[in-house]
Amino acid sequence: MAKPSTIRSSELSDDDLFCLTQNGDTEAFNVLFKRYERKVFMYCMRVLLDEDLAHDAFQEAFMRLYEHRHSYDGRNFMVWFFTIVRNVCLNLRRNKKVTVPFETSRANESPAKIRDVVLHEHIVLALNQLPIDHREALVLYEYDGYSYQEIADITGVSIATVKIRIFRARKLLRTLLHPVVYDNGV
Amino acid sequence: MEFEQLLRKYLDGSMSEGELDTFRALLDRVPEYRMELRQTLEIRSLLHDDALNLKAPADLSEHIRIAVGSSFAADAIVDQQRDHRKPFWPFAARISAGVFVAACLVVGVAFTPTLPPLARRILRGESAGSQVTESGRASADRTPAASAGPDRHFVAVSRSIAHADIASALPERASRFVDNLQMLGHEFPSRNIVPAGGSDASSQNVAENNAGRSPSVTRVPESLLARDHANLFGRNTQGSAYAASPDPSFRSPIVPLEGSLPQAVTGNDGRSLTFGITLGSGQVTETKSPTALLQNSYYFSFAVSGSDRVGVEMGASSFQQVKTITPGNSPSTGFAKGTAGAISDDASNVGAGNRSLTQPRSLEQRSQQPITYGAVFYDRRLKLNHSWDVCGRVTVGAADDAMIGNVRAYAAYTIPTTKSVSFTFTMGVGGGTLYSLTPHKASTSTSGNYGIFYGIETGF
Repeated sequence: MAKPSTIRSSELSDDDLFCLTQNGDTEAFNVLFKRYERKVFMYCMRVLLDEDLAHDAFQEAFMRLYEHRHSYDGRNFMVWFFTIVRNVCLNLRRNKKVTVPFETSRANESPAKIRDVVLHEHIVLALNQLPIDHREALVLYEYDGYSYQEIADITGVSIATVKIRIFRARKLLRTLLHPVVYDNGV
Repeated sequence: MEFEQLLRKYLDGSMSEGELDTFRALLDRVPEYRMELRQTLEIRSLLHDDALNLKAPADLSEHIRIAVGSSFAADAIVDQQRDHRKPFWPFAARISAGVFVAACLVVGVAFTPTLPPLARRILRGESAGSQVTESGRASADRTPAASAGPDRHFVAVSRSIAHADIASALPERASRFVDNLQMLGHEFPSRNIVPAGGSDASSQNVAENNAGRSPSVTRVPESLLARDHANLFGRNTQGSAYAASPDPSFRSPIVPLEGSLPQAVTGNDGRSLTFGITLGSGQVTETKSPTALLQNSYYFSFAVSGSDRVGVEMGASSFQQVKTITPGNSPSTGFAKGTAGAISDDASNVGAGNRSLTQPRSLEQRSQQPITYGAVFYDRRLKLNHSWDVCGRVTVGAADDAMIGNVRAYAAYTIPTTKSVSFTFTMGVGGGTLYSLTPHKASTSTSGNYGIFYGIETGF
């Protein structure tokens, strides 16, 4: 049987969990961390397109979550936190030149794995070709699964702009990845 | 263009039945559209595959989770210790100090002794006639009446000097005119106001002492002379015609001494002070859960006219909030938000370890936030009758890390106790707003409150 506290925390909203976290409930923070860990990491990886930089951004984002805890106004934790994540990424990107590393040694990997890695490397390259605002909107929509409204709240633009950015990003990505996809027999 | 819009809607899942039919028709008709849709879906699938492979390294993730979680826990402990620590300048002490300062100001201003007329004249910059006054005062102080109160005595003696000056310096025609006036019933103040123990002889002595003085005392402003004329002649009903066109020869020797001018009834030149206490209770707006407001204020004010007052007010408000957190609902926000409050499980949930997974549990968080404030206000009073007034008050001020504004309308019932002191009971409604300027917060917030206020005030 699960512990009562676990039942409670898993059912609470992000806002409730963060309120509890602010009052020292580490379990509430653990639940919140699990909910956002992957989303934040994917955002950092695919917006920054640099693994080391993304790791730094991932860590920095959660540290700033703690540092800026008093600025949380009690509503829409997701938008508030992703605004922090976004600022961290933009700052790191501004301060450090982004390079897109390629894997070089794949001797011990299976062909399927190699194909995946190559495809993902091409995705990274293609994403790197996109304007940062288009890339950001696409990552939030396709990777993190946020709605247009949520992306508009995070990025501070209108829903119409978000829709246009995502559509253009998809179109550009299709153009860039088309030969790669079909050469690899996807 | 139409296909792009339809494709976007298709990918978003926001397509209507009619649009879906149109989309299908386009796909059937145009092979390029079919290819575009397929490639788009393939790219999308590729991105989703890519997302599945993205995962934060376990050690990094664990390190961050423990570090940040520990920071939050430590922070909460520090907050609790801070709450339990007695503040250097406690809330009650701040209130008490404010009340004490306000009371001292009220007492100090209300009971400041009346300025002696000479000081008043010096403050007004009137040097003319000072010799006469000083000499008259010197003479008067030699009389037994000097012990009867300096102010009244000085006024009376000054008036006698005025009369003596008139009697001695006026031409004969004027003297006859004065005599005629007296015969007609006009009484010059000096003849009756000379205090007990004094006599007309003393006035006569003063008059004699001043008889030989040159009329150099006419350096007095014309406006004051005109007022003195009006005082002299206007009181005689039969002499009103003279008052309208006085003979210029009457004017020059008349000295507008202090006593011959109208005197303020109170010693404070009509100042009116009010000290009041107000209690209030109400509700804070813009909060989902009930937030009770308790407010007390102390103020003192000056009347700037018969119906207008300005004053300063200080007080304290306490916002008490009970916040219930239920799964799926956001906690309410308000003034009390962010304060360290004790979190306790609802009584109904204690010992409910065997509840089902889907049964919601609620948490109850109680918190309170006291603020102290100081403000200035303007108060307008409309008199209904001798006891009842209707008043409006606008207050602007500063509180702990915030700006406040307040508007209040109230009825006031006044009970006079003495000639200059009265008590007023007030009751009314009001509303206010608080604009938070908390330094450690990145943003500011506003909130409003309303309530019923009742109080008592006394005036001097």
